[in-house]
Amino acid sequence: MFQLSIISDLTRIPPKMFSLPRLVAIKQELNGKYANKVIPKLGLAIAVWDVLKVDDGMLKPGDGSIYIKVVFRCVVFKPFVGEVLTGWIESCSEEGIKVNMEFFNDIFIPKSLLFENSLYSPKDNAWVWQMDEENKLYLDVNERINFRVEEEVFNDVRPKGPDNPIVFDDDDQKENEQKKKHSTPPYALVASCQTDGMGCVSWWE
Amino acid sequence: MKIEVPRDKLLSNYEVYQHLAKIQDKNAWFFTVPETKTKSGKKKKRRNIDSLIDLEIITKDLSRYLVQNNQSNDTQVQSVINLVLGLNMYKLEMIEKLQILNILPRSMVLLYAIIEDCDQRFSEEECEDLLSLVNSSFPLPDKEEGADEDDAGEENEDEQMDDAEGEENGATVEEDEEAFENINGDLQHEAPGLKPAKKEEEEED
Repeated sequence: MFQLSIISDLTRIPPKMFSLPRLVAIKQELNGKYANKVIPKLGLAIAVWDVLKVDDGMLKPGDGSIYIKVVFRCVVFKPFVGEVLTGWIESCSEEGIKVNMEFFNDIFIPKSLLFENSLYSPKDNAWVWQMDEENKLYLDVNERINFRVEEEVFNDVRPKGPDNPIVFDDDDQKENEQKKKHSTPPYALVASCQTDGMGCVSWWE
Repeated sequence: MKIEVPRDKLLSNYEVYQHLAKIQDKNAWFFTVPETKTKSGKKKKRRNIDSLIDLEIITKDLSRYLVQNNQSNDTQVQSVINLVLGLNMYKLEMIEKLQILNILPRSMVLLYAIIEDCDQRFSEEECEDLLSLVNSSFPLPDKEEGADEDDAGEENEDEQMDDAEGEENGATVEEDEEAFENINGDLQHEAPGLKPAKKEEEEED
């Protein structure tokens, strides 16, 4: 589920942090920059593990900060394809199930990757697995479930530009708000729930 | 930013949780770790640094998630070592060992879900042995009430004292950590051969 990645980067230590020991200041800057951020094509960075190499600091004209090239190791959340993980069902819809892992929420199990003979029941707002003619198993919201990672999806999310102050168009604003709601996550997992051992944890105990 | 090595090492949930516990202790955040006092007996002052807000969020969410998934402050290094040493006796892939350590399967179904082609590679007896190995290294909490728990509590206190004072009792913990790193080394030794194979699999997928 987690791994260490070696990353090199140029950190900027602002003058207000000159009073701190160099390594502490560097770690603080790196944690501020990377913690809880998705690194494209890699995964979700959690925290700095250790700093491997610190080059000499450099100065730039017109800036009081030091620029230091550092090589560090970072804890990254990147489950591999086929890994079994545990989470909670956040919501069910006709398309599938959204799973929540507290620190990471962009996990989706599409209906094609659910158990065979599964049906969405709008009345219960849950997916129902018709195991055989008599037994029905419910995948309710907030149930704890096991799932298997099938695919990871990275989206290039561009930074939001500044709002244009000249155009005051209501339609535009509405569009923007809608975009915000349906923004694509930078890192998402597609999971499956088809084999024995998957689905609600309580079923298999 | 440049990613030098995307996957330098794999981390177990145990290691990640220990790292987060250290971060919490350092910043006096105490989401899942018990509060420690400073030498003079005062409450440690909570550190609030604006740039570390993301680290605080991810530390809180992730450590809560891990506590709900088999990690606790009382987990002993020795039990992790026991389990990994025991797992080395079986012909398991590295990622399978890692998942067993993370998930701690208690039922046959879950073990089959984690281990690929389990029925062909292992006999039923071996699978039962694996389950009992997990159970003996990490007994379920309701079974081991009494003496064991007291021990765990005491040792935990010791560790906290180490953190606070950094000298007394340090030796034992250091030894433990050393042993743990050796184990980690063992895992890594097997890794190079396995990793490329795993990557190929992923590409084929």
